[in-house]
Amino acid sequence: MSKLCPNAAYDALLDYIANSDLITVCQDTPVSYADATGLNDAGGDRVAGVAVTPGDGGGDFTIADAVGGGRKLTIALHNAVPVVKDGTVTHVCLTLLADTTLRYITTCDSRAVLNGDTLDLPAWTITIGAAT
Amino acid sequence: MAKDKDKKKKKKDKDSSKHYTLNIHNSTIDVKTMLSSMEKKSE
Repeated sequence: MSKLCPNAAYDALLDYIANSDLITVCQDTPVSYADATGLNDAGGDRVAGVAVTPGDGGGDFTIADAVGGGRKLTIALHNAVPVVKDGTVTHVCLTLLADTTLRYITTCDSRAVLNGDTLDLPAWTITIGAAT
Repeated sequence: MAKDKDKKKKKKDKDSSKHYTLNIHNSTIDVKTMLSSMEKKSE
């Protein structure tokens, strides 16, 4: 008999992440909302950021079946995001202002940037694999 | 004169700004690992 995890269970977790309203690009690994949203070297790690529409289907987040089973959250691309502080970016974070939560962190290729530069953030995914 | 200098400086700053495409790493949540770390935290 095969194992099953209903989509609703996967989606409860992915919805939590998809209810973020800000993507930040950070230097170092943020350990809190304050770290992820505060400006780099001014009490936080943020070098750049872009506001997003929270929720699956709102334009910035899409939850769907993953290839090979499980479910996948896709975060839409955002182009020309302004860099507001010098730094070396290494992490991308999803946060929510309403309850000041840090909801997800992933990594990115390290890159030194300067205030005034711009960043394209391609679409990226968070996947939960099928039950095993 | 000062205004011209300011304009030139602003133009120079704008010209020197760079545009990059980040390589964001796709991520997979390992539920087993997540659950075991939650159990450890609750102990």
